[in-house]
Amino acid sequence: MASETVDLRVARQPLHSRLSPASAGLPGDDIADIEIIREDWIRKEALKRSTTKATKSLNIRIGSFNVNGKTPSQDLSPWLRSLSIHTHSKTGAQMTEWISPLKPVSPFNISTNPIDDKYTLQHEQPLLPITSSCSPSDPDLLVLGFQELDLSTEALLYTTNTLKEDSWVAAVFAGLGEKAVLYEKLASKQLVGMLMVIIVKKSLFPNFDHIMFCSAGAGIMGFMGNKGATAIRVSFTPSTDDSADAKTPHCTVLTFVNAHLAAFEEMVERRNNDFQELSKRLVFEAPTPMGANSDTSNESSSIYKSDALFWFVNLNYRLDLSDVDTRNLLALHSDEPPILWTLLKYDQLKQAIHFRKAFADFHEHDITHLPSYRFASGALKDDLGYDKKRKPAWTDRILYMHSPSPSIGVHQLSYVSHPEITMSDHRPISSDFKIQLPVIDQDDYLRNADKLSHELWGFEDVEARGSPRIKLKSNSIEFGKIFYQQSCQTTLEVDNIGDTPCVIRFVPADIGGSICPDWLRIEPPATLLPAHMSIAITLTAFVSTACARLLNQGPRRIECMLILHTALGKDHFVVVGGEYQHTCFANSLATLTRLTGPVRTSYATLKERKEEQSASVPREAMRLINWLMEHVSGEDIDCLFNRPADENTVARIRECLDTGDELPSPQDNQHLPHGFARTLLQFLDTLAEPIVPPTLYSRCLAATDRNEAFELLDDFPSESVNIWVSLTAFLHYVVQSSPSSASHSPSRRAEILAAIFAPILLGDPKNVDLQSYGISPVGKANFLLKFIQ
Amino acid sequence: MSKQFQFKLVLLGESAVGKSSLVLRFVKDQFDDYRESTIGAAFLTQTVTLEDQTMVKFEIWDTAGQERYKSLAPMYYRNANCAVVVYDITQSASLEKARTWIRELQRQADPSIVIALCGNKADLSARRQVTQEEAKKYAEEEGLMWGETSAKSGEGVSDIFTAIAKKLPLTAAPSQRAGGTRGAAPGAARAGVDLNKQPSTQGSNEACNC
Ligand SMILES: Nc1nc2c(ncn2[C@@H]2O[C@H](COP(=O)(O)OP(=O)(O)O)[C@@H](O)[C@H]2O)c(=O)[nH]1
Ligand SMILES: [Mg+2]
Repeated sequence: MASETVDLRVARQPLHSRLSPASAGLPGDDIADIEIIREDWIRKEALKRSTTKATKSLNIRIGSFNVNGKTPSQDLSPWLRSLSIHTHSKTGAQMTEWISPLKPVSPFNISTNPIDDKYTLQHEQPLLPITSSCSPSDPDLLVLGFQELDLSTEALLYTTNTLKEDSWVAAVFAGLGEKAVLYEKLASKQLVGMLMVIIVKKSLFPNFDHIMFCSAGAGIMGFMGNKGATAIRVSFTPSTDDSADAKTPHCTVLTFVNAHLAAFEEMVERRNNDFQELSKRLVFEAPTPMGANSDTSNESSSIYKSDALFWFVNLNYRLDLSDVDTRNLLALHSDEPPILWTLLKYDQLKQAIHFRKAFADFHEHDITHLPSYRFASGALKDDLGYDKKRKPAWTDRILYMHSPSPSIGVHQLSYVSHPEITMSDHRPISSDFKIQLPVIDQDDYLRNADKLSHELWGFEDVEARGSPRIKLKSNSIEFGKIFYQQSCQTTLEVDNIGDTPCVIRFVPADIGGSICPDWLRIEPPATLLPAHMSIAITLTAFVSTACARLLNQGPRRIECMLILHTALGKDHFVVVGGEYQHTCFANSLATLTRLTGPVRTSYATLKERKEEQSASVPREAMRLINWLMEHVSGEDIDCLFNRPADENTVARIRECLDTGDELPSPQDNQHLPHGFARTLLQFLDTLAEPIVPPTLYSRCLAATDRNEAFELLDDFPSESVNIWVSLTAFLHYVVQSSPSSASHSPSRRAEILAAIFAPILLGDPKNVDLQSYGISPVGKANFLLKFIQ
Repeated sequence: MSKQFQFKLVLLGESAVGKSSLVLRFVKDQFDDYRESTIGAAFLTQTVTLEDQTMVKFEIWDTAGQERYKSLAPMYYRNANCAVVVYDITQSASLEKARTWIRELQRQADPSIVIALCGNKADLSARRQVTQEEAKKYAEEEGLMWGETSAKSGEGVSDIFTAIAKKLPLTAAPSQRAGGTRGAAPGAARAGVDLNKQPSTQGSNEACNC
């Protein structure tokens, strides 16, 4: 798309958010909106019409390695070659199984922000299991970023010495082993200590062109080349012979950025600024137009003008957590991703992305590998090999963003570190991507776009062309039952019954409001409709945890009114409704303990009940605990809370809790125990308030022995005490009943359970700055440990 | 140069009393026996030129009368300079409904809003259920303008809009506009009073001759 690739930051912005502010009775700038929507529609429609049946895919492996000034002295093959061949494949595959079932417990995934929920739903990036058929074969493109190639002081003055580069390129080819003959170097770019090398399959070499380079220093005075970034942009054009009916295939622009940002824990603001600066200053200068060709793209352009943009970086982002806590949690980690997620909550980069201070809108896959920094040797290292003097951190990261489909599909297949390569104080990281590209005929595209522009020109002249007229098939849409976390869809059919094209968009009742409640999504929220054409607008009801917190307090009937505005024409009203199915998830202890029966049937009678009639423990929690006590033993108990569980099983169990139906029996399915364990965790995690009131945390952490810890229970609210006692008694039982064959000793088992449950039972208040909040996660776990050991 | 004003006008009233028909008559001088009923709100404009050459442009919102969509009505009458509340002279219940609308406007709309009560379907006087006296008396008590119309014959339609056009520039003290389209920033384009949010600094926009 070289000639008209748009800035990703714009392309990713939903069309709807670019329109003028409008609301019921206050149409915005209809003329300007028509312009925006028409342009977007023509682009998409022309793309659709000129997309051939063929598709192309590219496998890209991206690696990042801070080599700490070392020269290559080890085999790099684990870093370069696909997972299935290196020694960690077993763990790798096991870990990835975790991704999908555990996703809701991962930090930043259970969000209080409904926008986040919407976001995750729209942009799901399923991580395909590495062992599946999608397993990356030999990559088509290897993109490798090195940092700190040269630490010598002379290197700080820009040098043109390529000796270091040559030796690393040679090591890379050596690492490719017998496959090396298949590859050749496509491009490389060095800025002092930073080097990026792109290696391509020889057979694809001719398909990459328009290669451009740029670099920018960051840091003090912006010229010390030791920090900064290098970028390479390539255009990929599929070969004409294998792309069937596309005679002039459209090219895809891929941009890679290798960056090294300011070091040191406290420099987080500096890093955020570096990122913003580099985003501005990394600009590809167009080559001086030689024959002043038809090539229109001879302006300089931002790295964001791409179809996909990858940053792989020694970002130097650290953890805002004490050294003791960090090492303690890492030591417990072994194979329990929930513990890594506790740690990652304190990750400065995750925080920066969350608060949009840097890398906003970039995607980073869940991390399942251990921190890649800083390793030491001999007496300087701790039990895990980390430098005793430097707090371990995920300093090396791979992030990306890409144009919305259908232009390109990006699937991340892996994201791992390579602990077996030990020559540096960092461990290299890598990630495999599968990029799917529709094959588009460029000439055809231009013809279609031109034709459409012609057809759709001038309809905003209502005087001359007549008012737009649309008709809705129905003004009332009924979803029927709407369940927590189960999306259900229906359509709203809109016909353009007029003789001219028109533009429609949903508007909120009030300026600045939303076009629909949080439990509803509308796709598309704005579009063009050619004359005499119809469109089925998809309405999706999805009750996220944040939505459920509100809906659980309300009536069964949920309803809203949508306003569909026709630019320069009428507003149409649509009533959308459904029957919300109350759930015990995302509920509050105070409510649950006051219910006389299962949530679904008794929520309505809640108001008449008096406080003192409270049940002591929510019956849902007791049913789960009782089931587990009754049915779990032996092997199962050993890994009860750290095995993946199927989300459908969780949903099925939850439904029984909500309706009061009998729970499934263990004969049904051998994975049920894990399903129950996960249901219990999620039930606790989605509670409106953590079981222990946050005001007590500092006292919990100060408790030095069991007696002091138990005394604190006097200050718990009554609904918290009982569930706390039941749960800890159950966890104590789990610790005690571990079989002799168990993989961990009872005391270690207790520590792991405490590390998994503490962040939930003593959950962090939402939206606090975790650094200044300063409650140690290990301190919390130690408090819990006093009850379960 | 003659003076130009722009006002937001909203039509309210029970379903089927003839609101959309009135607008169609006023804007296009047409009448349809079979009009699809509005589920929503339609926007139209029409300019009235007074004897002194003052031009008054109405931005008209014709709203759905159905009870079901009542919660959205305030979105359309907020910032309105005038409201035409319509009843059907052959249906006494529709006058009751009109009273409800008027009470709501008096309570919730801009206090300076000009309200006109309009008895439509005057051509069907044989089936009259609402006498002129009754409606007129009520209008006087509440300080409303009043008139009877027939969207079908056209009788009284332009009179009522002209009467409003004459009254508005005096009451509403709108800002003057040298033309312009609906396309301007919301609020800024709405002449007249907007007590809700428009700061006075919007003046510069309004001079724009686009
Ligand atoms: N006889 C007669 N019929 C009218 C008049 N105005 C409207 N109608 C009819 O009344 C019905 C409802 O009119 P409409 O404008 O849709 O009412 P609205 O729901 O208030 O907008 C239609 O069948 C019109 O043709 C009128 O002045 N006289
Ligand atoms: Mg109507």
